[in-house]
Amino acid sequence: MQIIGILVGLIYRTLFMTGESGLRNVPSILKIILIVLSALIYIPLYREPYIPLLIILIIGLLGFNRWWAAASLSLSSIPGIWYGLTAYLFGLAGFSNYITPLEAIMIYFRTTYISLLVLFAGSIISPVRLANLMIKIGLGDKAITPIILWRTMPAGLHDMMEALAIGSLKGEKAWKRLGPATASMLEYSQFVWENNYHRLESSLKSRLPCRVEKKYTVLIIAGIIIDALIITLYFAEII
Amino acid sequence: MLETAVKAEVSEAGYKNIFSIKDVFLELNYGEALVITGRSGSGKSTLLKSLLGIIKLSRKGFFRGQVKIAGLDPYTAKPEKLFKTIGYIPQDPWYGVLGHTVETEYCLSFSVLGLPCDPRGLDQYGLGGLRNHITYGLSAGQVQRLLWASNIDKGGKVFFMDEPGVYIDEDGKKKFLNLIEKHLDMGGAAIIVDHDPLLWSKLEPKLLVLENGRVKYFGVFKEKALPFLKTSMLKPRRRKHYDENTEEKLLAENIWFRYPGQEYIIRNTSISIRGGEIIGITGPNGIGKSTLLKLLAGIYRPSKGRIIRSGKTILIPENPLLFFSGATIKEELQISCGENCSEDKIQSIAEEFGIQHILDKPLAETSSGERRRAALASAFLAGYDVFLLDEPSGGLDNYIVINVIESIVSAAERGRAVIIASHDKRLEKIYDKTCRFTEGSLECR
Repeated sequence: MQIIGILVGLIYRTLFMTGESGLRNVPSILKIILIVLSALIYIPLYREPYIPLLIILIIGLLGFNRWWAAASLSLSSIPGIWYGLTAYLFGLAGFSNYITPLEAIMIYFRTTYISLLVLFAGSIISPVRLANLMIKIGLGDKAITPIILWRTMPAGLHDMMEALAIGSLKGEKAWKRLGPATASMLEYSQFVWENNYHRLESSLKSRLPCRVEKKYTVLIIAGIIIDALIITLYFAEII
Repeated sequence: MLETAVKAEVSEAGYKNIFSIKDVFLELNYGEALVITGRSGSGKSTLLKSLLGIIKLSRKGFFRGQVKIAGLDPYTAKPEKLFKTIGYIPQDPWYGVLGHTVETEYCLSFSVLGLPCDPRGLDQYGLGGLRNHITYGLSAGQVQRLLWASNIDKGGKVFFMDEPGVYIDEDGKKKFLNLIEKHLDMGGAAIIVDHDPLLWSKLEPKLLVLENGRVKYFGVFKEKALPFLKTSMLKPRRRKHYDENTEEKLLAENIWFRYPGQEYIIRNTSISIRGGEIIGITGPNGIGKSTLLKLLAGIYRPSKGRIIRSGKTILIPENPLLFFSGATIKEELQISCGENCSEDKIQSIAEEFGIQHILDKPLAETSSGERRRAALASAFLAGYDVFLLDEPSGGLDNYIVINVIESIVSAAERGRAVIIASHDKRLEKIYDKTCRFTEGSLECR
């Protein structure tokens, strides 16, 4: 019960803890550039994967908060630990080439970085900006989709965490609780459909308010400059 | 001559093989309000959904008859056109929200209508400070306020509201009553479902009383037409005061709590409860009542301070669906009762909570009030030491509230401790102590 609850809580804290604030309030184009460069930086820093990991963590820490950094690092460490540990153990057992503990740690960092980058990208997506973009390109009838997704996913996770916690108070086993928790999520979608039918069957026409925050824009630009500098230095064979 | 806002001739509508309302005929003019009332499970919400044309969206929903809202047939009109004409606040407010933040939810309706949105409009509903707050982190009262805000401010001539004040504090209720009055003065119309119609008597509304899916009365508002107990007639039985020397079942000392990335919502708060004691927690919407209950239950951990529990604790949340483990009410009661439980025991608790006739009903098909009763019955049957009840009487009629009160009193007399977070004045008579939440801490008397 605890493990499932903790996992659900980590996903919730990483992706859905904040509304339209922090790094979400940065122009989309800058965010896309940062993500692309952060993916490219993997090449020059293949042997020092902890550096890009630190860059993303620091941006997340300043752009969201320490809870985001802790939750996303914990969540992305799960595949990291899995790959690092299994590669090391398989090597020890002779199922694959032997790797040193240091190489296993590097595998951990690389895998964790990729996972963290995916989570970071998910965290900075602004459903409002997405919806506005869809309205702009004539997809007003579908523009409500990102908004609903960003409402129903966390609301479902929130309810699931609460249902699991109440199950724990009732002394129930986790697997017994998952059924009702899932059923309640399915019912949630039915009720939301009924109660919002008229809105859901209509299209969005005017843009939803969204703002740009200077502080976070500067932060993303700083990240872009650092990444670009490292990549340039690498391809110029200076590093 | 007054124009007709809503005209309905409902031959039959409801849910196949489960429940239906029959022969409901009503007419409402602009400038008028209609209050639909009746006991829990009498068909109030079914009627409202039939009028809105959304009954057919349910798996087993059906409708036979004719409805016109501002000349539009809700079953054939374009949803967008209808949306422009109506406002709808559903009974369980959390199912009425689509936006992930308060501001987005508020502005979505404007966007559908192609209107510019000024989120400063949220200020007058007490939500100004929460514009950027996530909607899934709001209390039920705050969600209900948000639905009021978006429905009223977007415009629309006819409002449909299902128990719109259940989670709202007293100040909020007064404010919203005035807003509806203004709406009527400006030529709008409103259909309000409420188990306590007297709340709306100031509007001089029409009254429709339902009983088992049939119209018992339709006409001008008169108290005599109300076939059930009025709130003022509620007289819960007196109970023995708890013994000050009994063991403390729960003790919270100097607890502090904040949600990640937010300010402290609970500051240096202490509370203790003994076996046999009933404590009521009151306070405005969003002040932290539900959060405190979750801390006391152990669902959240305090940032500072300590909580000592000496017994099994259970929480029934605002949304009772999250409480259940079984698929039907009977299954839920069986799980709570344990393996060697007799059928008589289940039957007896079901009768106490007025759910004996719906024991085999899947929980997904029960009404909001039925779920609340089933959750309370299940918790009382399981015999916990400390009960933490979040709005246990929301949407329940006075007859059922009397049963709920008697069950709470009876549990307390058997040495259980009960903490209730509620705005419902009907429960106040049974509190040994009332603790009011102000600015993050409790003031008990």
